[in-house]
Amino acid sequence: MPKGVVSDTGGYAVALKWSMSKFYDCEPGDVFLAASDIGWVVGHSYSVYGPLLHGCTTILFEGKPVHPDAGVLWRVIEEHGVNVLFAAPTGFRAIRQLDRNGSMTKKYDLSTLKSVFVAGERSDPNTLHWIETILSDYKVPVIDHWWQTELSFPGAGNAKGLGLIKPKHGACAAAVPGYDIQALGDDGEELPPNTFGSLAIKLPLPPGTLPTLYNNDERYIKDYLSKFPGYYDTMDAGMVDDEGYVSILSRTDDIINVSGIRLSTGAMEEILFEHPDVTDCAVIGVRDDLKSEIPVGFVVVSPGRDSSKESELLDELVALVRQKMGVVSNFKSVAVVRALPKTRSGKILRQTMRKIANGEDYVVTPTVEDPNIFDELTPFILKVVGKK
Amino acid sequence: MIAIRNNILQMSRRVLACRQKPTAFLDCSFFSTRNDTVGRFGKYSVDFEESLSNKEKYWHNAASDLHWFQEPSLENTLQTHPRSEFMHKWFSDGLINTSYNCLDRHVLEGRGNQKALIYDSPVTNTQKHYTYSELLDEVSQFAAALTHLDVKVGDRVVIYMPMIPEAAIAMLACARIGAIHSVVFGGFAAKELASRVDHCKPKVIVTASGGVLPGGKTVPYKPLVEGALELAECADDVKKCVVVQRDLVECTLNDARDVSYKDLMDSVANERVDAVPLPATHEHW
Repeated sequence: MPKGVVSDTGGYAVALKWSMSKFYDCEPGDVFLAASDIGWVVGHSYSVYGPLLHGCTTILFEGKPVHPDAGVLWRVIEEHGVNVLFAAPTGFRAIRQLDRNGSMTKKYDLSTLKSVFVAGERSDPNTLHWIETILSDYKVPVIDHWWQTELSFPGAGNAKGLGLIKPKHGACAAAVPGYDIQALGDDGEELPPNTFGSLAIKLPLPPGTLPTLYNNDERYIKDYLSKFPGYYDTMDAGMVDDEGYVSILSRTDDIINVSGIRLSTGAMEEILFEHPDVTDCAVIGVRDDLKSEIPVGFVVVSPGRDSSKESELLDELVALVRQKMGVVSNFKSVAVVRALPKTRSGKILRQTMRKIANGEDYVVTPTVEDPNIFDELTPFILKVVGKK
Repeated sequence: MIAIRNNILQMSRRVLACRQKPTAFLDCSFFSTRNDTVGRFGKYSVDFEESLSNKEKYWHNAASDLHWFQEPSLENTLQTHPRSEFMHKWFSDGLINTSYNCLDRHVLEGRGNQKALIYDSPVTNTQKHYTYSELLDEVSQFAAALTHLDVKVGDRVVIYMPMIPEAAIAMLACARIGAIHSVVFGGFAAKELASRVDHCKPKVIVTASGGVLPGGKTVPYKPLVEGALELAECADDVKKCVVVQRDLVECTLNDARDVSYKDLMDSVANERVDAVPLPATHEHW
């Protein structure tokens, strides 16, 4: 059964109109390209309603960011004079895999571009840094921001229209006006600054956010409002620091418990992305009799990489995580795979991978991009967790 | 180089901090993406504080940037839902139409000749654009078509479409007459489409003959819609299936329920429907 997130008429229009100037720093008449699909919330809000409410020109892009080549987004920007680009990190990673030096950007005049916004799958700093580097001729800020379908517009990030605030390591800047974001402990208590916990939004939510689920107030209350009374449960984990910067590291279920220590698989993925040969990666928690859970990594490498040196690469990756996060990470297992299982909107299906690794039954979501990917991946998953 | 060295320094400081405080290393991300931005932190802070401490006033003020058929009152800007103290309603005494705010308003304010929508499709090698006037005209006409199909305020319409202009036109036409649209991602298989149809019980499905993938491979949608309607329990409630015929994907319309987008639009060639004032709390999608 679909979740059935709904949106109202007035609050949604007010929030989107507000966000076009205050968050995305757009003027009426600007050209906005959200490289998403109208089936997703980003497509609703920023391929259709947001830009039109604001008197902008919106671009409906039918295609992939690497077809016919890795320069197609740059071509669209030049041809239509795009001022703001919004895309998912997975799209930029696909471009990077084919055009690591960003040479395609040199073929086009991108001088109209004012900013790049990134959201969808959690963005790793390396990917953000890469986008900024290849666009460095234009000094375009690359702004990560945090979203949920339920919110229908950004919840945290650098609100460019209110002036960029100084970025901080690992934080996606601050809560968007209207959102009182708090890190909560397991008993629902507000945690002190800099403490990692469940991220929740103190009620009421701002306009634009879901008023309920379709025909199902009870399920809305049960799923979102019951765990922490007085708060909306984002089901994401992270922290808020003493200056109000918000870090979102994982879905709550991407936190693993290794020998009693709570670790973020997302933080490990960020470290793996630092290796120059890694173009994509996922870390999952696998059940372990001794340590409760252990992390296992899967990486996709650049096409040019010498495959005979795979074991050296794996050693380097293990060393990298252990050096940066410490031996307490217990990061020992990593495998190279051709591709990761993703939804069409670019989210990695970590839960399904975890179920395969744990030998549990699983259902392949219909939104999977390549339905055969799990047949290909299962032997790798079982091998790396030592079950085959 | 200096930047890199600074990063390494910061990295090692982070690692040290991590070791000293093992529970805190979840925030170990080592690269700042930008070091050169300086902010008007002040402006952000003012808005942020105001949005929380004086939320009714803040969002009531934001609402004044839109056209309202009946402006929401400040005192009713935020109300607790009778169902639960934790559920809320915004602008509950305001009357508004999103399609009006997306289209009519800009035409009236002189943006009629500005491009509203540019369709750029590398997979089909086509481009098309609509000015605000053209988009308003097409949306008002499709809203008339939906009205002829007996779609009324509160009725549901499933939009199962690739990224083509008619998808946005269908969405805006629904918003214009107060129909609730449920956009289903093109490429969901029949079973998933069926569960969404059963979930929202639409009166009309708007679809296309198919999608086109990079490389020119096509995905016919019509067999998926037919499959979904065989599976769906409420299939009989679906009165019409409007199909945008695309050049690259052939599709025969054999069911009495089917009508092509073009034929439907031709049948209302001289009709246009105005935007309907809707309560702000009316479900949009």
